[in-house]
Amino acid sequence: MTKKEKIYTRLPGKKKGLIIGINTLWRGPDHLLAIDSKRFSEEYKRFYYNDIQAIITRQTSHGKIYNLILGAFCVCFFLFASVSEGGGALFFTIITGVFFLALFVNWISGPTCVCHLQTAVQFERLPSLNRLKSAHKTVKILRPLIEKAQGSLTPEALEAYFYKNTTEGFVTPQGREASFGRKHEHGNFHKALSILLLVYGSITAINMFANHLATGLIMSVIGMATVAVMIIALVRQHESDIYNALRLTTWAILPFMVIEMISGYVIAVIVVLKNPAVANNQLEMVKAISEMSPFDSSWHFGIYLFSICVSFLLGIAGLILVRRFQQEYDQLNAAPA
Amino acid sequence: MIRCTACLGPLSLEIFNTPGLTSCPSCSVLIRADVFPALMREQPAGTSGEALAVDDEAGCFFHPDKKAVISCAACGRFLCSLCDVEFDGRHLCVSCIETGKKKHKIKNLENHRILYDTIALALAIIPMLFIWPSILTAPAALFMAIYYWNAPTSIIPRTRIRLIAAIILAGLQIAGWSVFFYYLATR
Repeated sequence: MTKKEKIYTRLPGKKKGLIIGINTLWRGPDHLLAIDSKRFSEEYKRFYYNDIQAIITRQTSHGKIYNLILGAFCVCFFLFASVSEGGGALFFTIITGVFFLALFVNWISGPTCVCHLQTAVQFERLPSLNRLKSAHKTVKILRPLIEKAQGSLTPEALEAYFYKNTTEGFVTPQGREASFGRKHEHGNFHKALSILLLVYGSITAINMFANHLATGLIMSVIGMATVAVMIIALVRQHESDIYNALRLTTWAILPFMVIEMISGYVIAVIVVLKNPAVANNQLEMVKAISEMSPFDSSWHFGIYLFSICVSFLLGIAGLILVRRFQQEYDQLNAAPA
Repeated sequence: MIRCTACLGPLSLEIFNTPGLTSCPSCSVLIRADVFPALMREQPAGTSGEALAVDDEAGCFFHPDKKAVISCAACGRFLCSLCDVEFDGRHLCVSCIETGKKKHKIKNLENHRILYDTIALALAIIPMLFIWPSILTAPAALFMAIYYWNAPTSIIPRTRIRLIAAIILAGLQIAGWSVFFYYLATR
């Protein structure tokens, strides 16, 4: 029996979907093969070395955001574990360990990126190259193969081509809007959202130590206002020129607010179960909730800690990013075209 | 034109073919662009096929009024420059390419494959967890593993280990159910 000829060699990088789907890249004799495996079937895309015009790798902040989120979860569950006893402490320690492991793996994997491949008629994303390390390694492997098929490109030829074809030159913010069809977002709603989050975090901290009906009500109102401003910010940032990091920070607020709402609902259910009499009276229920001290239960304490930490984290990150974005826009706007 | 993938702004010359990442002049994201000579290549203009000059010249099978320039490497039909498709170093006609794609004879044209070996293995394993469905799924997995033994699986190198595992697992399940029913019948 003759041994089957090995046509394809696996290239670095792999992207796994949440449930199904694995994206990989394979080096063929005259082409690059991108495989999108959907568990029971596979989709193939071929890019011939002779047709590849460019491979563009862009660093993203996804890895840093994952690190922040995983780090926040680690801290929260570690705090839960330190205030719990017996089985609860063991459970939270295990959860902390799982999040810490995920954080370590994400940190070890290095910075994240998106990689695109351009041909004369295609502009395709290569999902498997989602880490800078693997993207650089893959480009290093592919470059000789592409140059073998196309010949090498001298810097002089590239320079000549660049100056012949580039008419845009350096781009001012106004030019950016006009030429790329992306609207400019001033970022005021993002700023308001960050401020609201900081206020929400501060009120939660006050409510933790000085439990009162008034602070509870203010917390609810600010929470609702945060959700409203968050929706506006999400709509406004769509197809806009806003920083990707700011865009992601705004998206990160969405699950946080969902968790806040769910935890509020769970607390309300617990209060109703403890005092069935307040079930039909909204004001009495709010009073009963505000009378609950977070120091009575480790769960309640953990929820408060989580709210305060995440509110401040996202609020401060959002404010810094908005400030940088607005300053840079103003500088570019002031610069002569 | 190479553009930044974040802001779609044109990238400056300093970013091209550098070993590391450089800031995009428009949006400041860190970016690297590896460009190749194909970027500078002019796109060839499409040909419409040369008309026959004299009647005794060979004409294209698909366009009899056009001059044949080559014959199809698979079916031998005469082709004009419009119908000639160069693929994998061979000159083929469109119908041979279509047939080759349908019959999976031209590997480089395949863009989808069903992984029967993975399906058979999943059919042998997953229902086993719920016990009762395996009465039906074990024979189905065994049938599938045998029926698709020679069917092409993934385009990348792959052994038949999944099919073998599916046959063994399905066989064991069938044997187990046979013993169970025999026990029920003889009790």
